Amino acid sequence: MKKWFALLLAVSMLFTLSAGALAEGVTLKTVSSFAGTDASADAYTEILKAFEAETGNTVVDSSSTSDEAWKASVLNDFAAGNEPDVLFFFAASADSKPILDKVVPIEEINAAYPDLNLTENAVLTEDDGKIYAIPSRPFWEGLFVNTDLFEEYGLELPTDWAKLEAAVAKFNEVGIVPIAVSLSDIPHYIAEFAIIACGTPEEHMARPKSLEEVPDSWYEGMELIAKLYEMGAFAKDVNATTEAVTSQMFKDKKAAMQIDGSWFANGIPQSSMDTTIVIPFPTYAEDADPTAFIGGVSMGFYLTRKAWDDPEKRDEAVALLAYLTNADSAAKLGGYQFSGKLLESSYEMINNAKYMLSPFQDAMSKEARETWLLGCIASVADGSMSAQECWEKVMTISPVFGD
Amino acid sequence: MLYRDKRPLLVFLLPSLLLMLVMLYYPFFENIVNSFFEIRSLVSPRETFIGIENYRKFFVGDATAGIALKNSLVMMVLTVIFQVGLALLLALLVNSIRRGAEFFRVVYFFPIVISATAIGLMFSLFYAYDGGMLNQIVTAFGGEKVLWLSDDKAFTMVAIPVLWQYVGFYFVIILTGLAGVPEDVYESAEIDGATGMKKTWYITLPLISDVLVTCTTLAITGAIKIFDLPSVIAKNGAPKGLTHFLGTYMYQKTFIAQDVDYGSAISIIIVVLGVVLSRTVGRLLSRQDQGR
Repeated sequence: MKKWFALLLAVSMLFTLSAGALAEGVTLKTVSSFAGTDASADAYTEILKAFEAETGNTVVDSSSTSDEAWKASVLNDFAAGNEPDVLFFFAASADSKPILDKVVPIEEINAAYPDLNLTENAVLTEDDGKIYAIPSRPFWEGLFVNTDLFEEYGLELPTDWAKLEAAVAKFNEVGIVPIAVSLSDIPHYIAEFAIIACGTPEEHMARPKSLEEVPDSWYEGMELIAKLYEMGAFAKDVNATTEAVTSQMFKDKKAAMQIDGSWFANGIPQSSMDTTIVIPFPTYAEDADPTAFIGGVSMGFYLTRKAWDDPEKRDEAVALLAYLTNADSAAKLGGYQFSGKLLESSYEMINNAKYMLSPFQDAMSKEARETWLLGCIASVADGSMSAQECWEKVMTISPVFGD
Repeated sequence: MLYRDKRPLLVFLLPSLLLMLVMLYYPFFENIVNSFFEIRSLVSPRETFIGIENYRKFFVGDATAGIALKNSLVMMVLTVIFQVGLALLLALLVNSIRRGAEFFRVVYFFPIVISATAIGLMFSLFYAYDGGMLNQIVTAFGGEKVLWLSDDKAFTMVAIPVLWQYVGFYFVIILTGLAGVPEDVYESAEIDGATGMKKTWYITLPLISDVLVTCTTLAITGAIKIFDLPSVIAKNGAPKGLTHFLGTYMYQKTFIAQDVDYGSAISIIIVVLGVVLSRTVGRLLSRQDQGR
């Protein structure tokens, strides 16, 4: 019996080894944020499977939902020399700076593979003047509104500050959370929009190098969050809940508004496509632009230097990059999964805007951003820290912007 | 002597030693060096030498670090009292019953086999303001919803599951220690007229004192590096960093803020505190034990 068992093991081992030796193609490693609740997660998996079927290569994908921990793990892999061959990651921002010497400029790939003619989009130009990523999925951010709740309680849509205040008061009265947000988890959007609401787009585009250079609207924006907190615009547990919980509250119609991006729109239930719209966040200061919204392209596909320098992988890794960024894939990954009034309102917001602004937090150093968003916002909101103290704390970090 | 020539033993000891050197001591040494240099991100090299700036910042320039240190120290005291203390009490009770001991052993040990993430998730569902289990109970009895993770309650709410989870661990260790106490000692004591409490105080506790010292040392070192449960229940030290412990704060500073040098300094502080406190408590308890 033992002999037969040993023979069986030996044969299966030989079979595995020979299968490995005979297998076509190479194994490529990929990383992206097309995972979890991302509406394009399935499309991304299908694209990878189609690539495997067409080329005989194997793709080992380690995608995960985009958050600070995911960004850190990607950077950590680069630091440990364990970077993937192709990745979808942030570009032209503070997040991409640390990996630039480990990824290949698109120009260099195009020079070696002229037939591919990969997109070199100037939007993703880094500080050294080179473009390393091929953009995918443009984004926008705005104020999502459950219009059915506004209709039910006879409220006007929050297109200006007075209407927003009226809505907050009414929703408080009837036990609906006016604005769904977690200040302890993802205060990123409200922090950025509060500043846009309090000053000119030019002030939002400022990149102060010292406390003296911080525009007044940045202080006023922080005070605006405290004002909203005082008005009862947020859930009682705003300083201790998570974004997953607050987003679900909005989708379940337990919250009336939420500031978020196009990726969030992709996750809105189909049944709510005609009862959810997106509009610019109402302005508070007179000189603020009521049409301004945040948008652009912030992520793209990269090819790593490690794959480029590996003669066995290079052609296949370049082929995968081209495959992921061709017109078909771009439509599947970057295309909107939402429809109805939500889609119409997003076009309206974009078409009516005088300014499309980039989130300035993307240009901040990680330390400054963490100090501002996780170390200040919740405390400023409940009054345990002043806006002055907040910016003093942030501006002591060197550098806040740039190198 | 089983092995007269001890040299072959080295062959077996060397691999684990090498592994420890490469995987533990070398990174630890690198961490010490990193804490004295400016490092701007996880992929950046060491830049300027900044000396003890990170340590100065930790002790005098960072309010949240102070909260994390205080929480860790308080948690350390709580673990000794509630984890080891409760485990001792339960072990003494279970050891004294004749039937059902096996049942209680399984019941108390069970939380240990559940992953911390699952327990964390379970407790965050208990504490949720909107639809959480505790608030459902409170409102069912006609009460007002409670903000369980408010500024003043959050630490307690995070501490409860942390303490609860590991009671069973120490319970099993102490119970094993109790099983080693010879029955004839108790019989002699009974002949001398010792009652239940006296037997516990004068016989049981002194005879398992080494087990208790081990449990206390484990509890102290464990408390100083708490990470998993608080990070699931109160993300980013919510609310406002009030539930940060040294471990969670080190993670936030290293991986989210990417203040790698500061994170390294915090990790060194965790190790130094763990070693110093556990050795101090160990010595104090041993001395007390010798004095009996």
